[in-house]
Amino acid sequence: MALLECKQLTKNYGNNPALDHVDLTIEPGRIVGLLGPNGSGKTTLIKIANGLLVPTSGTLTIDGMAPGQETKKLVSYLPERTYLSTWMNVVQLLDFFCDFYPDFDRAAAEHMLTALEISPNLRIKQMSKGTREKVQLILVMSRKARLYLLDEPIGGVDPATRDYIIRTIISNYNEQASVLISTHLIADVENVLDDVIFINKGHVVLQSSVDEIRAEKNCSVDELFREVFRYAV
Amino acid sequence: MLSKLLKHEYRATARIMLPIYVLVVGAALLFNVFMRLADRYENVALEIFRVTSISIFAITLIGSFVVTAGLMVFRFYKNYMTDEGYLMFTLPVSVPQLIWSKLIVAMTWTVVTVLAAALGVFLGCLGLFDWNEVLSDLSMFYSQILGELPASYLPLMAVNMFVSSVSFFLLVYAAISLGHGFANRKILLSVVFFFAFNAGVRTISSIFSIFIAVFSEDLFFGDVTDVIPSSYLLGTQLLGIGLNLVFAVVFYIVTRLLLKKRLNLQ
Repeated sequence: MALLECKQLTKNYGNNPALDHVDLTIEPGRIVGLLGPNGSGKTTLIKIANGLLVPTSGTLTIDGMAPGQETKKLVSYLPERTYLSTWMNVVQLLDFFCDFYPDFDRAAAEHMLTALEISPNLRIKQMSKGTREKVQLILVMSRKARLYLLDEPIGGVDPATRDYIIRTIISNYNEQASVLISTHLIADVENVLDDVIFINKGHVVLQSSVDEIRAEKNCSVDELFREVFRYAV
Repeated sequence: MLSKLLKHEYRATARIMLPIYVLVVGAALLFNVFMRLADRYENVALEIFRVTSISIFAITLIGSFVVTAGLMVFRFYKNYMTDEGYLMFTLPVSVPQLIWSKLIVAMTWTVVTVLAAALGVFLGCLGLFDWNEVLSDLSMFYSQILGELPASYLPLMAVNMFVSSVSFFLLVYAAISLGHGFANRKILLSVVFFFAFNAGVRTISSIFSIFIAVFSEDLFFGDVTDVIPSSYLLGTQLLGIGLNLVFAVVFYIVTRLLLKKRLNLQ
């Protein structure tokens, strides 16, 4: 069974469609790039999958269930903004995640914090924006979830951290789990992706495996993206 | 999962509430000490300190209630409607659990603040007055105004205050949830809805109060005396409890629906 499935998924903000009759599926064990320009509907799709928005029409299911309390146990979500309470320190955050997510691997989180040289007694308030993003990503990736929904996970960090994060993503997930990465920094993630979904103005314009793109179109995902989304001069 | 939400909500609020209670007790002791000193020694400086300590004590007492209500409302807004909502609404918990956790914590601190204020008044006045005299004066005052109070009046009043606090917090939650369902001017709209809901609640309560007054026969058709009849007193308290329960249920349902269907985090 597909891990995530959208059928005719539509979301309108007022009269503006953010998603327009989207059909797509994500199978277990895949790393999928959700690629599209700003305002193409990536974040809207991910928010619906997390139950933060209700679709106007159509359905989205995770492991056969509509987004709700049960699917939230399966999904580990990294939003494009920092959601950490600034008064908390890292240890309190680890406690919080341990309490609410039985699949949270505290040892793995502590290991990553050490690797990125983040002190456990530091308060979020005292951290730079980049460090906050690192902490948040560590928390999200330390869960043994079925589906990781990562909205712009590498947007705000330096290239060295970016590499570490991407390595973390590949090494942390297992064969039953899938990762959906929304980004427009395609060159950085291209090498780890199994599949790509191109989305533009609320429509899925392409869903394909990276191998197919390389074989059939004879170009990289980055090149194909620039071609598909080329603006008229 | 509700217990875990409660645990973390108590943790998040205790760091502000506990120091507030220390301040209340501190201000009470300060007040008590300067009252005694100024009584014992005639001294201008001590008199100034006494007056200052009275103001500090009064401000601390009133402030503790303002901070309690303000912080509980702010927690709901900050934790659910701002970026923190991205974490809270993706936890494997239900929307009712999210509402109940905030409400239970808000009511706990409200009750503790009442107790802390009572403790503050007790400590502040300790040894300063003859309590027997104060109490008999108070009961004289009450019996003059209210006649013989029925035994059930004060407990009913306490229940009414509790239920109206519950209904107040739920009204605010509903106003915030409704205001934040819109794309722009979320905070302004929340404030507008708060005043609109309040106006609605007041209007309905007034209409029912008039009914109670009319049906409480002694008031209009009985002997004209200068005491308020007990049937009216009990009637208003019971009415208050009933109406506030209804308001609370309505605002709870509204909040729950809005958070489920119209959540619109920026």
